Amino acid sequence: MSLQAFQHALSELVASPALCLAVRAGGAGFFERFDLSEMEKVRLSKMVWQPGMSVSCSMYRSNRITPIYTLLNFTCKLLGDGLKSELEHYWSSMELADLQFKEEIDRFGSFLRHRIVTAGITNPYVEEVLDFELALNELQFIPRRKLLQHLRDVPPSRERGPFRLSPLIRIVRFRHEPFKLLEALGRERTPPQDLPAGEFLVVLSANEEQTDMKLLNTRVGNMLLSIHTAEVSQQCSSEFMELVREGFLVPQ
Amino acid sequence: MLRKRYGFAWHNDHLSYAEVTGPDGHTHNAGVALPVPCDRDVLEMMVERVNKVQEIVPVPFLLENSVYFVLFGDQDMTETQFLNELTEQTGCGLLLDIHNLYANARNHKFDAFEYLNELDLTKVVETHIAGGSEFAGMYTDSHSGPCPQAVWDLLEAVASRAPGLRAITFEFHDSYYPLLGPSGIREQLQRAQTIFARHRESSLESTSIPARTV
Repeated sequence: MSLQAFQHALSELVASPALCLAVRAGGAGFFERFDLSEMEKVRLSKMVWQPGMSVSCSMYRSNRITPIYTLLNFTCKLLGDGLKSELEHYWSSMELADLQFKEEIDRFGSFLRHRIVTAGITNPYVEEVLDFELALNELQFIPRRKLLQHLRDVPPSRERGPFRLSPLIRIVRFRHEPFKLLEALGRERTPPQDLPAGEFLVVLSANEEQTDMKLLNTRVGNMLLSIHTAEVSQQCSSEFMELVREGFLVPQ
Repeated sequence: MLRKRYGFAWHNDHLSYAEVTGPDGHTHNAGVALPVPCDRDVLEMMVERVNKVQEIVPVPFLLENSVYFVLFGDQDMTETQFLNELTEQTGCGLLLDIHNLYANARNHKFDAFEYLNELDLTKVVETHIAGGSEFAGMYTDSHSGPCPQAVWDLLEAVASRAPGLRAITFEFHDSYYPLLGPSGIREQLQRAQTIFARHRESSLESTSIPARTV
């Protein structure tokens, strides 16, 4: 299967300018990883010197950055100059990729969460904005119409509960005032460093065509979160019934 | 099943690859469409695969020439020889991407009209036209605007010599929409339709595949 090995080797070179430079410098170890004919080795050795290889490498990066920059745009803006090095780390640690938008941003999101803990990403807003954008994207990729139909089809006998968190909502915990933070990012501005700090729980709802965002009072927000983690299965307070009316809680 | 649902008259794929199988058997996306070398063993593999596709999907199958930025240098055949052999041996058709041809000719300094002279244009069923842009020192198939004049000239040449031509597709990336606007896009489509109409009558007489509007 020499052709398959050749294709694999070429794709690895296109994915890594550093690898191309290593092969240019005579990095014979690269070829030993593949079952290549002599002619294929010569071809690849010549190809890494072509201007077209640099273009292919750049296009590869452009294609890989597209889902991340499109769907995690605010997170990327907050990372600023640090984005490039984070992407370098990400790409070098993620050899396998299907490049589907949803999976790619989920992978990058997990990678960034790990980096926030281990690599000291210092911007105080990155984590919460990342959580917000991942939650927003989750809602954009769910089969909304199908879920709405399923919720409409609930038999009357189950309408009084027990209840669960609606699959059409996500709750995001912010540690800074979310609306000012997101507004600044939406206006392409650096968010102020002195945004009010605290616990802000925001519910994102896809019950309507346009995803809605609402700040919850902390107690209600925590009630929703506790239902989500199955710590509370049923409550009958007026606040609880309001959440049912809002469509945040649905019959199980 | 798919044909019943969508009613397509033909289908196509590129003469390139974007999915790679590693030694562990897992596949991953190459991130960019990469060219295949025009060698004898690749031709044999392609013939086998095209025949398989044609067995499974009972409508004409077309192969599309891709844009490429790297050259293999010492291939067994030229791309036109490879495509002619492939269409001859399998009976498949061609989707001639004129903008890809233009980009390749511009980047690799060959004559696109000579390419057309060498290619069996009777196998062309569809063509793609587009605009592109410079990127990192080469011209790319970015679908970013109106067709260059050279693409119109090439389309005119193809349409006059491809009796099986049934469709012209103007490829345009929606992120560039503000650049052209509705009137700009309409202008491109009308220009393509005019060229198509000019050569349509003669081509309709020579094939059983129904014509498609742009």
